[in-house]
Amino acid sequence: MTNSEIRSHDEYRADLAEHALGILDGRARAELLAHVEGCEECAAEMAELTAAVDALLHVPAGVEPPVGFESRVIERIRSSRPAVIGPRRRPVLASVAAAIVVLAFGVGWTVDHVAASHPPIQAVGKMEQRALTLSGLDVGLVYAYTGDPSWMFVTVDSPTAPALVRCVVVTNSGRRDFVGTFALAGGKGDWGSPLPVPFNAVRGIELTTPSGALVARLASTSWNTSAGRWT
Amino acid sequence: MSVSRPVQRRLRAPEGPASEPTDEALLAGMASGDESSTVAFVRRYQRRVYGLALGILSDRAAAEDVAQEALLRAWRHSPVFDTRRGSVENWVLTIARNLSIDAMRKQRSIPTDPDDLVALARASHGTSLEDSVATRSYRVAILEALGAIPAEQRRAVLLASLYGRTAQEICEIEAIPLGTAKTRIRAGLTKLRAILAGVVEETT
Repeated sequence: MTNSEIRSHDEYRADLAEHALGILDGRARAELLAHVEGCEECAAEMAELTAAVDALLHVPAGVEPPVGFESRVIERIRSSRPAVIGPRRRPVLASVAAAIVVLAFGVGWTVDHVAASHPPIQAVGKMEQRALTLSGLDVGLVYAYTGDPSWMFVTVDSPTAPALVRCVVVTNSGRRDFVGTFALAGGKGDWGSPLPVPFNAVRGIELTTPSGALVARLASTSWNTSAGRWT
Repeated sequence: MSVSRPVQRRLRAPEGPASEPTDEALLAGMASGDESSTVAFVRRYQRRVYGLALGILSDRAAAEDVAQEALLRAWRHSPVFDTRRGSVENWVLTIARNLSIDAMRKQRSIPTDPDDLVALARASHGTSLEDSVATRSYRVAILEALGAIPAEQRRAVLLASLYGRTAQEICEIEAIPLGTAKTRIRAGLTKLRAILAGVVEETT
């Protein structure tokens, strides 16, 4: 018997609400977490109670902040930037994100919103967005950046998807290039990676289980040179 | 003893239009130092963050300080956010709530009574044209669930969740025994969870 089992299951269960609310003191919290680690029932209930607590964050309605709020926040961020820019902790994700957001939305969505008060963003490539499907159902999205180097960012939301997913790029020549493996939680997850081939050489993208069963696919794409995009 | 079915998916806040970048993509953009992502993120969340802080603090200047700091922290910590641990929206709102609690503790008071907070929320739901229909419906469901639990339990749950009050503090605020405060917290949150999950179960 471990220390975490000195109290009864029901006593630990009674602490779950206070833990979910974040008001349980440190020692009780540590003991509870040690119990929850080995108690499926408490773990499930804790997750549900935490979700209920999260829902309460939505009780107060959104309110338009004072005029100039956005500019003041951005200015504070700008002035803080030198302290955090430098060696990046997640260079791959950061690069993918830059490819996705700076370039893709810089071309379209973002410019419309940003141009009024911020310098325009230079468009180097384009972003293609396509649905990932399984048996005709949308189970995610793939964003692909057409610049050089080309990048992709995948989001999956499929309750039936496994915890680990392999990503394969199918090239125009039919070659299947393994790109990487990423984890999902409850069928949801995001992942980004450089494309192993130039963007216009990608014919499809497939996500599979580690054993090779199809989880989602983007198929039947082809590069339309005149349109400069997937068709 | 049966295990209740998971409710996380049911309780998820609605997501934005499919044509806009996901929260996760914006957060990743912020992590990369991309200003357009940061601007988009601030625009997406400034109303929610400010509204939450104002709802708790009832002070526009203090709420702006909190909202600014919350968005700054979201930007600062964007490189280490783990999408597997929850939604970006709840993460940002949690930062704002915690900062509001910190600000409130300095005042040593509860600026907005929990009953008034709910009354204000009920009065304002559906009036914000900035919110999507899905977002408004989600809030209505939460407010209805809150209205369905006993008032004393609702107060205890809100004092703990939005004001960060411990059971001991709630027992002092409400002038009730500690055991009663704990029971109200537990029973209230458990009922709320069951209602939100659409599960009818005995919780007390």
